[in-house]
Amino acid sequence: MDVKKLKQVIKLLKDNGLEEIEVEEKDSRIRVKSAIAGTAVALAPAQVPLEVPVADAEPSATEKKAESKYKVINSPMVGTFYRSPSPEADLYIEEGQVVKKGQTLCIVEAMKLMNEIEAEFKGKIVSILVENGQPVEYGEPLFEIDPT
Amino acid sequence: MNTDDYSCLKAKLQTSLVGRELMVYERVLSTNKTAYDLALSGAEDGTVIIADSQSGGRGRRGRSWSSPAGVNLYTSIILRPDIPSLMAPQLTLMSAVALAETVALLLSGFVDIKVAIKWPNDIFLQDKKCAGILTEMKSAGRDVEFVVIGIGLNLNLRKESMDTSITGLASSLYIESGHEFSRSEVAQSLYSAIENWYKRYLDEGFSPVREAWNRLSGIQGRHVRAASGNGYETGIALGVDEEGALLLEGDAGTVVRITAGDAIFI
Repeated sequence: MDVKKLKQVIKLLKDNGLEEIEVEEKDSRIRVKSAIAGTAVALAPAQVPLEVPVADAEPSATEKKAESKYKVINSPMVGTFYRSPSPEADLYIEEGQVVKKGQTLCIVEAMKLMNEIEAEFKGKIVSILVENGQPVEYGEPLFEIDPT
Repeated sequence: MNTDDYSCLKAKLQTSLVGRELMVYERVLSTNKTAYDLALSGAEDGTVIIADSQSGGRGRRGRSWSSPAGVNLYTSIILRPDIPSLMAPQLTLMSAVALAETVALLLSGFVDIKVAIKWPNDIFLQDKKCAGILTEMKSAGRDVEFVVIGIGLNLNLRKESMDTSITGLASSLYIESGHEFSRSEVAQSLYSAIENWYKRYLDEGFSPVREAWNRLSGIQGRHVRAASGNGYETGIALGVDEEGALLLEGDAGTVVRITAGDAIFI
C-alpha cells in the first residue's frame, strides 16, 4: 500500500467522520483509527507496524504556519496543481520572487475547469509547497508568502 | 459567411439571462480571453461573446483549437453563480449536458449518429470529437467571482478544410450528417439549453445534472484510462459522483476518483 492510497483511506475516514476504517487488498490490509491527538495509523498484525507522523497527514501543516510570520495560500478546491498556463509556457512564479496583489501564482484544474489562483496580498514567495502536475486537496497549502 | 450571420441573433434569443448582453465579434484571439477580460471589468451574469473566427482558439493546458471563419461556433458565456469555488467544476459538466442535448436535438433526424459526452465535457459524434468546453474561473476567497464557459462546436466544417493535425480525431455535424446548420439558430438553441440547465442547477443542485450526464455519456461500464496526477489509472467507469469526479473501479475492486485531465476508452 503506497502513501497515496494511505492518504485516500485517511480522507475517506475524515470525510465520513468515521472512528475506524479497515481496507483489505490482495497483498495488504490497513486499519486507520481516528484518535484525539490526530490520525493514528496502524498496519494489520504480521506486518511491520507503520506510524505515520501526524504532520504528514494534512491540516497540522497549516496550523504550524499560522504561528509563523509567513502567510499561506491554500487551494480553494480539489484538483491538479500547475505552475504555468501550458506545458511550454514560462512558470507563473519562482521561489524568492516578489509578487503583487492579484498576480497569478498557479492554476488548479478540476474537471477541465481552470482556476487561476492569485496572490491575495503583496509579498515574497518563500516556498512553493506542491510539485507541478500533482493533485491537491481542498484547503491544502500551496504557497508560503512573506508579506513584509 | 461573416458576422452578418449573427446580426439577428440578439432579437431571436428566447432567454432571459444567457445572452441578455451579447457581443458579436468578427475575429478575436479567443472568446474566452475576451470574456475573461470583460468579466474582470465587471461584465454581468449571462454576458455572451460570440465570434466568427478565433486567431488563438485554445483548449485545455494551452492546446490549440482550430477556429476557421464562417463554419463553426465559438462562444463564451460569463456566469456569476453564488456558489463556493469547490462546486464550480460541476458547471463544466452542466455545460456538457446542455451542449450534448443541443447537438442531439439537431441530429434527432439522423438515428444512426451517436452523440456522447466524453468525461468531463467533450462532445463526440461517432467516437470523434466535434465540440469542446474550456471553463475558466476567478474565485474570490472561497467563493466564485465569475466563471467563463468557452464552447467550440464544429458545425459546418468540411473534411477537406480540416486542419491536418486533427483529421481522424475530429469531426463536425456536417461531416457526420451531410447537412448544413444555421450557426445563429444553433447558438440560439444552445443558449436556451444552457440557461435552462443553469437555472435548474441553481434550484435543484447537481443531482439532475449528474443523472443527465451519466445518461448522455454512455461511459458507465466502459473500460477507461484516465490521467491521475502524473500517472494513469485504468478501470471500469462507474459514472460521475456527486461532485462531478469520474469514478473508476480498478481490478482489485478499489474505486478511484478522477478529477483532472482526460479520460479515454480502451
